[in-house]
Amino acid sequence: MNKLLLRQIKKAFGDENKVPRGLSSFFQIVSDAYDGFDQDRDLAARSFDLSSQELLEANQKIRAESERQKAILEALRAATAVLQPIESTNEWLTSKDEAIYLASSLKKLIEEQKQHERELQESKTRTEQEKAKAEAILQSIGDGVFAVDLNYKIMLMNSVAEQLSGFSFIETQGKYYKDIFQFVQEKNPESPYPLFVEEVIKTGMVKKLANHTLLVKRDQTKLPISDSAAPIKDDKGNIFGAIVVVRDASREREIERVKDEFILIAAHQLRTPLGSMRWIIEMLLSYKDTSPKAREKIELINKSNKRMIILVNDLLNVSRIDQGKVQNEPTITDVCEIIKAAALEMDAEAQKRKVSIDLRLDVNIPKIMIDPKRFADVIQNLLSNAVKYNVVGGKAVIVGMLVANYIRISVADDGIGIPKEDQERVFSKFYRAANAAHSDTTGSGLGLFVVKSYVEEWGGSVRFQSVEGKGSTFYLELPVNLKNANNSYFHVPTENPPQATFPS
Amino acid sequence: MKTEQRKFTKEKGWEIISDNNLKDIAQLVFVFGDTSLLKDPKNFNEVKSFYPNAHILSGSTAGEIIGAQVLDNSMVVTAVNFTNTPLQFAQTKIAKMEDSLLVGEALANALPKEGLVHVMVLSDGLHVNGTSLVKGLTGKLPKEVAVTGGLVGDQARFKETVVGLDGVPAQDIIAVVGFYGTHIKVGYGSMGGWDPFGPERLVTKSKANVLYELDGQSALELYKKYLGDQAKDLPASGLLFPLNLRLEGRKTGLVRTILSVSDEEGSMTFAGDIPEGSYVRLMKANFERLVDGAAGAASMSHEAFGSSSPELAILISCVGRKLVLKQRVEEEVESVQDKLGQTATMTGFYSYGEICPVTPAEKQCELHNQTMTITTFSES
Repeated sequence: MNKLLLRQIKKAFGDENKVPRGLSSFFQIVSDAYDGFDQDRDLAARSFDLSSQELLEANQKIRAESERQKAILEALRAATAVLQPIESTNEWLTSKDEAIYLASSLKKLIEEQKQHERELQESKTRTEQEKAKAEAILQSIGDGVFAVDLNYKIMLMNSVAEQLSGFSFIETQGKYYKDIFQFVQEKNPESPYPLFVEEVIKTGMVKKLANHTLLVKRDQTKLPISDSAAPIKDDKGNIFGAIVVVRDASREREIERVKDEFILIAAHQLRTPLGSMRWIIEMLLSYKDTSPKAREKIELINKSNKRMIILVNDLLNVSRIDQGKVQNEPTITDVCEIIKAAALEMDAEAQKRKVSIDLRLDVNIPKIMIDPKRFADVIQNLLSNAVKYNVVGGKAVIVGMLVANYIRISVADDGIGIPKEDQERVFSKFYRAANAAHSDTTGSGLGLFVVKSYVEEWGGSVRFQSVEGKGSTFYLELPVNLKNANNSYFHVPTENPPQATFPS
Repeated sequence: MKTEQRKFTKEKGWEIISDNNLKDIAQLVFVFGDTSLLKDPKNFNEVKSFYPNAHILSGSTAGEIIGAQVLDNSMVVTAVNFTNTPLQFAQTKIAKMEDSLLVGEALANALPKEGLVHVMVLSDGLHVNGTSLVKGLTGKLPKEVAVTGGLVGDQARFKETVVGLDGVPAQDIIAVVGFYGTHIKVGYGSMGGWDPFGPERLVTKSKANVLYELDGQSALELYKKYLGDQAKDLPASGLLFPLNLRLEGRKTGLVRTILSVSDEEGSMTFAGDIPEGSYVRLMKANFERLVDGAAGAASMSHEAFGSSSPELAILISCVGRKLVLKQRVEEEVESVQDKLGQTATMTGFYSYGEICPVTPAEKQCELHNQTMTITTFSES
């Protein structure tokens, strides 16, 4: 009970126990109100004190600042008073003393001037020495280096860059860098090359370019290179240009090519015998008089054979992606139909694991221009993971939504999840998370790599959220007008205008 | 337009307040209530059985308003039958706060634009950046269409807010209603009633709606200093000192209210953006001005109607006002009723943010905090 109220009750009733029955709940409400008022008053008083104190401090600061300004003003006034006579006519030359004073002042001024000139000369020499040193370092670098100013005009370039481009520095100085260094993408030489130097100057961030870049030399021959660019800043941190390092990557690229070719040939060569084995296994399984024991063994061979076929196919896919040889045949596609078909295909496997597949697709998702086979690969990969790594009795939920001009598809499961330390690498080739490798599920570690490569090629993105032991959700975002769709914009209008709702 | 109301309390169950036989003909039902009551599917099904043909829009609250009464831990239900006004609905779920702008745009895109007069929005109160949501909505709606509504609440707990459209309310949902045609008249008004005090402070470190430093010093420490003993009740007690935000080059200030604090990061999250380089002042409550503010908002919302009276008023008032007014909270609702007249059916809730144009003349709406925001309706 509030102390003030208690005192008032004592005054009125003599004792708090003498309060008439039925009034005590009323007094409780009044007591709460009293407490509230007290709290408000304390807070108001406190904020008044603190705020006065703050204003007082601010006031003192302003006063101190104004004193300082006054002192500076005084000093300035004194200084201009000394100078004023020199500016005016010679009326002031009234006495000999003043003439002597003037002469000595002039002498002092001249001496000071000389001192300044000496210092300037010294600093000039120092700057030149520094410049020569920087020049020597630049020339001795094994990679091609050139720098551009804020207008993307070439400021300097070393001899390796001269060799790589086929132009001499004298010819290129002050020219737009793109007229000298023509970069193109190996896979797609016709499409415009990313404006990475421009981006470096705009963002101030160091930028390294993806592999598969070619430099078109003066004689129009093409040289595989790797390159990176960094901003040049003055001592105040202002960007005044960018430096670009270009490295001849023909040897690295050759090694990479040979490796890819080897994988492609090896995988191709493996496919034929695996196919024959499959045929023979199926034949063996069809014999009625095989003993149960032998049949069991043949089933084992059958399973391993299937796994190897999947692995070899995945390898071929990856190798095609690496070499930029994936076929792209976009047609007008109903992505919802493909998702439904993938779910149907997965149904048997899901029932085996008692996993239920739940589809929630927004009716507003339009048809888009996309390669249906490759889109199906992406969905099958994600859905098969959601089923394979799920718990018995778990759920795999696919949600499709139209968000602005993106189609967002999420695939969620209640499965084993991806451990935190593995999350960074799940999209890498041949990588399987530790808990996936230990589970009884087989996989090549290539599925998510394929998904990411395809989706990014279409100008989309893929990301995920996952908690180990709880499950994972993969989010796919595809622009309604895809990149590489051979058609800059394709949006099939729905027959009716979109109705207002997508209620759950 | 016809309306009828009922309410549910744990002590007395359902009580009918007014009855106009709207069971089968109500098109829109507003349900405002306590988070745990709204989340119970039994309660949703019950409301659905009262109005089987209506769209049901529900939101959790920091206090329910029905008539001139303010309740806690209850559900208030207002059913509306429009004679000549078509409605359209859309809802979506937000995955992360950064999507607020996109989600606002998607919702606006989902509403047909022909004949659209007004849009009302109810949004999750904790996981949405209200400023971005409003920007998204208004960016994709025709200029002459105004948006009003609010971020729903959860007492002074700031734990779980829920919204529902034709379903059991859940977290992260944002729902909109579009009103169409030439017969509906909509008015709106929004006013605060808080006074800035103390020095003006420069925002030196912030990111969207997260504030770190004022004048190079921790903003959280400043609040703790001012709150004294009541600092232990943060974030709720932070509502006693909202911020008056002045953007460089703008005369009118916006009020920003606190949603959560993080001791580890020394940061405070507000219901709307606090850009670096803007100026803020602490504000304090003034009882008379709060109540006058509510009456002022009512007068603004009345302007559109001329001499006639509105038939329905949705009141969305900030949880901060309720915390300050305490037992006097009903005074502000009564002052609204006085201005609108007894014919207006009133309902609404205490919120974590209000959405309304700054003045009735302009349609460009903003996220407000610490205000009473009123949307009034009538049909000709």
